[in-house]
Amino acid sequence: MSRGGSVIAPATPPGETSTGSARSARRPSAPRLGLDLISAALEGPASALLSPSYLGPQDYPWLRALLDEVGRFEGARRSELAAHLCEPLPVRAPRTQLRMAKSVIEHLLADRPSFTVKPREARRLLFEEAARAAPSRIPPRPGSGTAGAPPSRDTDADWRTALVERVAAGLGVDRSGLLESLFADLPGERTILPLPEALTPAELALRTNAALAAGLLARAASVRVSVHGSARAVVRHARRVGLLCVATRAAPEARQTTARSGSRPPLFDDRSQPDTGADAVLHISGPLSLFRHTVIYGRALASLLPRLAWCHRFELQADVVLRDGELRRLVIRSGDPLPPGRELPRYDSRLEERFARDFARAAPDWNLVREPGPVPIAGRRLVFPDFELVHRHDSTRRWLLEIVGFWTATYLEKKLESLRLAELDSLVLCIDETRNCSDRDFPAGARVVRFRRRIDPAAVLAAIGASGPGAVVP
Amino acid sequence: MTRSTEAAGARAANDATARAATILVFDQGTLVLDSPAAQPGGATERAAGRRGEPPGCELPGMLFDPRTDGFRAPAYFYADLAAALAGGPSSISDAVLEDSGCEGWRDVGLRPYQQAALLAWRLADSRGVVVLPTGSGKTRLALAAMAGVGRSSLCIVPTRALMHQWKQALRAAYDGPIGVLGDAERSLAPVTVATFESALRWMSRIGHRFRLLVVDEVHHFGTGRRDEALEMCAAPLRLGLTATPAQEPAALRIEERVGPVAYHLAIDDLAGRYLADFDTIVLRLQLDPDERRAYETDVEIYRRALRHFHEVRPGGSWPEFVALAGRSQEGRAALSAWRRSQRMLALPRAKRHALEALLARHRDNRVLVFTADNDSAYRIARQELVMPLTCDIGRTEREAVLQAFREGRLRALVSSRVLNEGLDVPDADVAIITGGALGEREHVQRVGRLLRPRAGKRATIYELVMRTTREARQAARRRRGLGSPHAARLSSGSYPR
Repeated sequence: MSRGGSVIAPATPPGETSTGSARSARRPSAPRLGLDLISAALEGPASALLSPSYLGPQDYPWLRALLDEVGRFEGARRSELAAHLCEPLPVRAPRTQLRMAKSVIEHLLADRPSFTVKPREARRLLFEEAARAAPSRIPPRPGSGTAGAPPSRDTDADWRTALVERVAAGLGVDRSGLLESLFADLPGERTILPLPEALTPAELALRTNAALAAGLLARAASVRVSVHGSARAVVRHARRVGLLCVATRAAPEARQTTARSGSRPPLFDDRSQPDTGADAVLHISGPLSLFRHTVIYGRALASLLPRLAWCHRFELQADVVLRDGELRRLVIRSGDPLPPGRELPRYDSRLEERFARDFARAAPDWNLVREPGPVPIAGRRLVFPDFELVHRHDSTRRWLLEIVGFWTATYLEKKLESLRLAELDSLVLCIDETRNCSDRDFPAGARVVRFRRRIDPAAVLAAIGASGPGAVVP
Repeated sequence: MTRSTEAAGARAANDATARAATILVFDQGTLVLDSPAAQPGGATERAAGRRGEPPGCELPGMLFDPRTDGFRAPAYFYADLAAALAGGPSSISDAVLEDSGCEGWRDVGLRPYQQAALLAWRLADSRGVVVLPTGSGKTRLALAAMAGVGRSSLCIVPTRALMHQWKQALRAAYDGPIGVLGDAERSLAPVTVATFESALRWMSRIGHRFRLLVVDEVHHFGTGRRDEALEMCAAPLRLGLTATPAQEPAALRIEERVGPVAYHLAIDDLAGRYLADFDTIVLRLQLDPDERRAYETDVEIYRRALRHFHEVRPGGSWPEFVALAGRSQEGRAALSAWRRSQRMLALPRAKRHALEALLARHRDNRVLVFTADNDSAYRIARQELVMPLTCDIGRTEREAVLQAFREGRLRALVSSRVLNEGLDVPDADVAIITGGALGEREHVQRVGRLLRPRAGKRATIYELVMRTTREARQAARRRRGLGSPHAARLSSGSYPR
């Protein structure tokens, strides 16, 4: 950090999911195919929905052959493998799909430098010694005669040979050891490590499909996702990567509209979209999508895909910008051959996690439901409360619980406004004492529990009038 | 006052309060009108204007955003929006910039043409591009601009190497803290330098923290992808720097996002006084017979496919040809042949021998060898025992290499692109150009590496060109960039509104 500079909080920039060091954040968590490969992989006429050429069991034979070919190059240099992969496979393989799979393998391959002398040290010694020892006479053109222009070309080559041997001896290696080490740390010269054992043809097919779908989504300005279950996790991820997310319920009258028209309806007009009975319909887009597609928020949209795989069921629609501005409708849904991403963390923050643990201990008669179903507010919009408290023996005793922690004033104001509009009659609002809210800011009827750093389960139980029998107040 | 009048007065007072509470704020790379009146669910009515014309619809760049039920504009419209808000009575208060003053600037001495450039930029409302040749002190000009503005400034640069170089230059002129975004560093300060990539990643969060945006090598913008970094920044003052201005249509996009060209000087305008004089020597070489045969064979394969392509698509572009060729065996063979011929021209025997001779001849000079690609650079490194400086060489080693070159422990460096632009290369007086891939712009940048002035210095540039190959035409084209097609001029207008 520079003198007096402020470190940027390790929040996630758009399109990134890692919150680790900047160096690790630079690497995308999963490959995304580029536009040239995407365009080649698309099928069907321009007016129809996009149908990506997903790899499947029919592709396993050539994927096996590809993995075997790559496996043969374990211990070889990356540049050798790259040259070899330009040659055809021993079995027939569809050209575009093969390029896609190669691209994914390149991303997955691990390597390391292999040398007998540290390359940087070898370069420093050899090139600095060469600068001292290089002859200043002009070597003759071969075949042009040598009269008047000594030394000969052979002699000229000799000084290099002698110099390399001298420097190698100084480093305790032979000539070839020095020359092999000279650039061993550069990308093309690094030695290939074994492929992960789990990388079977089926796994490679799934990862290639994921790279294709992510590449397509990165070309979208906005998406519409119908989600059954775990919608809140998707909303949470979308917001974390800087996307705007509007959650609504699907319009019940939509099914007939689509069936009649048969044409491609506007993506964000829910009334023209089929009702899939989803928990929620999420309209997700980057702030700049109002003006144009952007790379930075395209990446963020692509990062939704591994999260969606954790929903019970989903259907994603996106209008994708292809070459020359061509716009195509992409549909990705549950059942498509895509791999699940990393499981999402259960809690948004340590504060929530600690509260869940403390409450479970303190209130054995109550179930704490993480991510309850969405609650409608004005119009067809939805809010997603943090928890629901349900009494084990009397399921009519239910309270929604929302935690408002470290947030900006604008966020807090909008959050409270949404909750006021929801008109919830059984809401517990846990609010950070430092937020400086007055009682009239809160939704009517809400039970308010103020906290500092930690939410006291006893205070919550007291707020819902359950601090009597069955509650263990610490 | 009657009751109805009272009610009307109360309503008007409430409306006025609502309007006064509307503020223009920065939101993730955009500007939004934030009003407590905006409520979820009211979008349709507000868009339809049933409640009357909402504040914001008449402001430049603003569009109604149904997602948030408010008005939104890309952040780079801030200068226009601020001018519109300041231009008349407005119910909207401006809370966009969170910049700060920065003190601690030392006097930055400028040469006369740098002073003229700075004046021209200021006359263009401090939004514009300054075009000056490599080595003529663009960084210094930017430092003077930042010192003059005296508020938070962000410099964005294309590479990590340049970022560290800028940091050093800032340290020499500015006593305050310097923030760095890029190369695993992540700190913000009133004066911050960032790589283009880091700026793109972080601008949605920091775009409101600076009053001045300095864009080094601004010609990299205007093609779409990176433009987002400029669009998500609210800095009202903008200075673009380049030695090789972009051509249309990229130039128009840069003009909209940074400003028009405010000042333009070419190498010829400064050579001899502020830049070293130089000679260009073109060595026209012959392919050996076996190389010639292989080259002609490959070129014929390629040309045959190209002729066929032009029959199918008259006037088709190179990317279209590549896309189409990839779909047939004949096309793929043509592309392979084209690549082989490129490799052949990159470093045939005659070039290798000429290079060997020139390195020996200029053993006592500081020599930069430029190649068409990294492979050629490594081949030359192995054969001639010359230190390569490529994108693969890490920062600390690169700095050590440049230091060794500065001190004379290394007398020659070979590079394909790393030395092309921006990097402050120690004084060199001979360049040997064995090939290039990026045409006129690259050539101007490469020649600029040699023009750091020194008493009595006259630089020499050798171009190794293979006769009767496509390289001969390319070499002739790229030399055109060295002339001075533009007289020095001040821009006549200000930033277009």
